[in-house]
Amino acid sequence: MKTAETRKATRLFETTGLLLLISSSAVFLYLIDPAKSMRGFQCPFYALSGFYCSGCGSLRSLHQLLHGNLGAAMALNPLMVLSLPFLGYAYVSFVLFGLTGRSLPEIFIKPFWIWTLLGIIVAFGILRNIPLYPFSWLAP
Amino acid sequence: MYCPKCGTPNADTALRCVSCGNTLQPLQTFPMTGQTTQHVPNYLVQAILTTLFCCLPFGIVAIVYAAQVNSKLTAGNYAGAVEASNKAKTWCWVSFGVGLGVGLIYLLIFIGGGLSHLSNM
Repeated sequence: MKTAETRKATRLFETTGLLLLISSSAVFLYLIDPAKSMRGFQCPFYALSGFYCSGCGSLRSLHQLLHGNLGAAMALNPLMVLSLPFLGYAYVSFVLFGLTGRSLPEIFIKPFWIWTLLGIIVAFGILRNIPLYPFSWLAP
Repeated sequence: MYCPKCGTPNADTALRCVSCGNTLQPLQTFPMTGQTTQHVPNYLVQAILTTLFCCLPFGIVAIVYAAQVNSKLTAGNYAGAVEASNKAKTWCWVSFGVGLGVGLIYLLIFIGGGLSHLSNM
């Protein structure tokens, strides 16, 4: 049986671990531009299929965002940039839960919105591969 | 009714699961409101993170199960929601594991390349 104390210790451990993971990734992505330094390391999905998936360009986009270039970040992966506020909310909720045992109310509760989100992610993955004007803007 | 432990469908009157032997409690004893207020994690955030950063279709599978969790909760199917929740969790880990594995392979190639570059100097 887990006592309340060990549960609290686990939560604090997870919260600190996640903070370390995010901050070290941020430092790494600030210093290294994946568009230049990681050229030989293509995403296996892209290397195998030749298609951009929904996550393509997200690391390059984060690098631009960390340097304050919102436009360049949007050009590489708009979906990732637009999802950041929601991911940030989830992170704040997770940290609050780790420190106090209470979390913020969940945003995505209605199944309709989760299915819509799934539709957007899949549609984005398909549309960004179409090499025509309005869609080519979505490509990384 | 579905077994909350293994997800196998059982007769509504069954006292034990036909598949795993888990003791079952008839659903009728829980009022509908009691079921929907119980929290079942849908792992949606983790699923989206692995979809965007592990660059793999497995993340999409995780999102499908995440959506099923809330669909089933809304329908009052608590056991089904738990089952979908476990599957969402599994696929998040699969996606994350594959992404991490590829990252480690790249890191090894990177270090290997650096070493051979040094030995050529």
